[in-house]
Amino acid sequence: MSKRIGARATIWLVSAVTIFVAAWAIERTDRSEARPADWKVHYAADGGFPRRCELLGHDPLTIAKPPERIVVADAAIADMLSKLVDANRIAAVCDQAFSWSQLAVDAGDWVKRPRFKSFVAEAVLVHEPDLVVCCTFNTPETTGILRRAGLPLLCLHEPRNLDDVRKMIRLLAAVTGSEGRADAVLADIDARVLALARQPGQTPKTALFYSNHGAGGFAAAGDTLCDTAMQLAGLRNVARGSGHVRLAMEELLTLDPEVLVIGIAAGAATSGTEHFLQSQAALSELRALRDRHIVRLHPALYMSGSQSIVAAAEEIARQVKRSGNR
Amino acid sequence: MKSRAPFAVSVAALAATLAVLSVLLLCYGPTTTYTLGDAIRGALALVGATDPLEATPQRILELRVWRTLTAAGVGASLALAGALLQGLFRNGLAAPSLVGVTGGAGLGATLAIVVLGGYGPTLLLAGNSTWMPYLLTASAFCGALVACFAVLTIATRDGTVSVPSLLLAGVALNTCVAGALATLQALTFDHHEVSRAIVAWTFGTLEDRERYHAVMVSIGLLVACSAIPFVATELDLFEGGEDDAASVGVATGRTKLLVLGAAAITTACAVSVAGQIAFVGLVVPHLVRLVAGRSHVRLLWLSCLTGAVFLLATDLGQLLILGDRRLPPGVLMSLIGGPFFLALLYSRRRKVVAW
Repeated sequence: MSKRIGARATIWLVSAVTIFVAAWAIERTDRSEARPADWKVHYAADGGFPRRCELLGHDPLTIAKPPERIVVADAAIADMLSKLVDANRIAAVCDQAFSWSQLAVDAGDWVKRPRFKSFVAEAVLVHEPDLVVCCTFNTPETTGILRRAGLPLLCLHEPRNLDDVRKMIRLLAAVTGSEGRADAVLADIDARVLALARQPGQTPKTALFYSNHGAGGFAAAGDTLCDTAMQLAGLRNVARGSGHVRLAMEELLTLDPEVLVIGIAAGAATSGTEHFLQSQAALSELRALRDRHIVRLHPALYMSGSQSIVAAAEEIARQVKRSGNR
Repeated sequence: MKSRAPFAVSVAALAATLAVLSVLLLCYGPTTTYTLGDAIRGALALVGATDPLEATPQRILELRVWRTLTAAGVGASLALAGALLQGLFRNGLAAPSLVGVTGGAGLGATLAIVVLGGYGPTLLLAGNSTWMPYLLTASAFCGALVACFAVLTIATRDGTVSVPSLLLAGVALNTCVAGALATLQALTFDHHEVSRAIVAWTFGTLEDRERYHAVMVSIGLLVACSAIPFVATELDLFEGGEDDAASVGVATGRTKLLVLGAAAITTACAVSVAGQIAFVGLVVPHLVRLVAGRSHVRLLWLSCLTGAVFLLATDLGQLLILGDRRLPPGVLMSLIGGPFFLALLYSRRRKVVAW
């Protein structure tokens, strides 16, 4: 009997320790620890190529000459590269970029470039690229195969604020030899940010970037580009914590933001979140709903996580101003 | 002798189909098509029998070779495991997932993703993503074996494995594993990179398989196949019940351990390289039984071959229909296997009531 009890206790102990270790590992994940673009580039003596790129936590990457056959596997990177290199230097681009980045609005010559739907090794290898740019979303199986095939592969973390975006643009410019264009893009970002900051001053309205389709809500808290966009637009984010956090209706009522920012599909007048919130009697007194202070954003403005977040901020500021004047 | 001819014909037909499907999967892919000559030359170059193709076509062909071998191995393993377990449980609804092996592998892989990291930017092994695929596979394999060991321990009393207890322990363990998986998913909900990796693995995958995937699944399959001569006749005798089998001299304990061990190892290897692919172990033995009857010598070998053919055929089918929008194999098999399972239950509803 005691042997059986001992076995049961061992099973429970092992299970509890396993779950504890998992929970500990999750909790110790400090989102502010690893920045998306902690990097260093060593230039050739004349400032040209070859260039050696050292990215935190990754093997160094040597770029022998300006890449002419770039495969882009991420919407944000496609957004940034679209401002840095001509479309004819792109060997292939992921299909998602044409839905979730500014390419959805204005693809220019990029629309003519070959596309791939899934980031699998075969879909990349067939284009014989001289540079592959992907993100940490992509599976290590695929990136491992590409690395072992000898392809120069740049794997970037997602940006979480405007400073990350600036760093990523500089890094991409360094590996593609597009510093001049990067300077222009960054100058444009700075000018637009300055213009947003110069808007007539008033007490910042409280706001929340929220989504809820009936299966639990999510809000963009600190250390997200949505938070950055709201701050640039002169709003104060009321979501606590960092990252995209769960936010129940009870908390929504408690926070009671003056402005709700929601995502909306291209061409649609309203969204599932808006429908859901308006159908809830408990939320009828929510200030943002009652006063109709709802900002609707096209996903291309905020989903990819690129310089387009400045355009998102401008759009938020424009809609807030319009609803205030109503 | 009369019955051997159809068996030999069935094996030959399945082997031929397997060869044709394999070659077609080497020729056709989501990006480009190779001629039959190039496909065979590229595959033979892997063993040094011919000169390789140009660098990129050769790399692409190698990827297709490993994917095809892995898919065939996974299909064969799951089908063989299903046939073994259905024979042991004397129940046509038994499948590898029933003894907790599939769930255990899933939990092992999820723990590897969550605890060891590799997908997330700041987890324990950040920066060592090169090792992550191997760790994921190893962790899934360990999870499968631990789950099987736990079920076996619970179902064993005085050195005898109780089949009903095994069944119940498997169901209970699957519930525990599902709860643990749900907990981990809930805890990682806000970390979308990790969350996405878990979901992707749960769906099963045959994309970007490499040599070690094919080798691992082959080892599991070889182990299980080597058990067939020792258990096939015994499983035939199990049909009349465990006591009847024992009365004619079958070492029931040894048979149960061999069957469970073979099914667990081959399933663990399959699930650890391809994720969770449901229903192959359920559907294939039933299809084979329609043709081969209930003799386990035939059933086990033919299930093995049919499983490989089944997974390759569905892979090729959706490649031709959906192109590079192929569904994960776990999803596809659920779409096929779910209705099949319901039809099976419906056709056997009288027997089910009698259980």
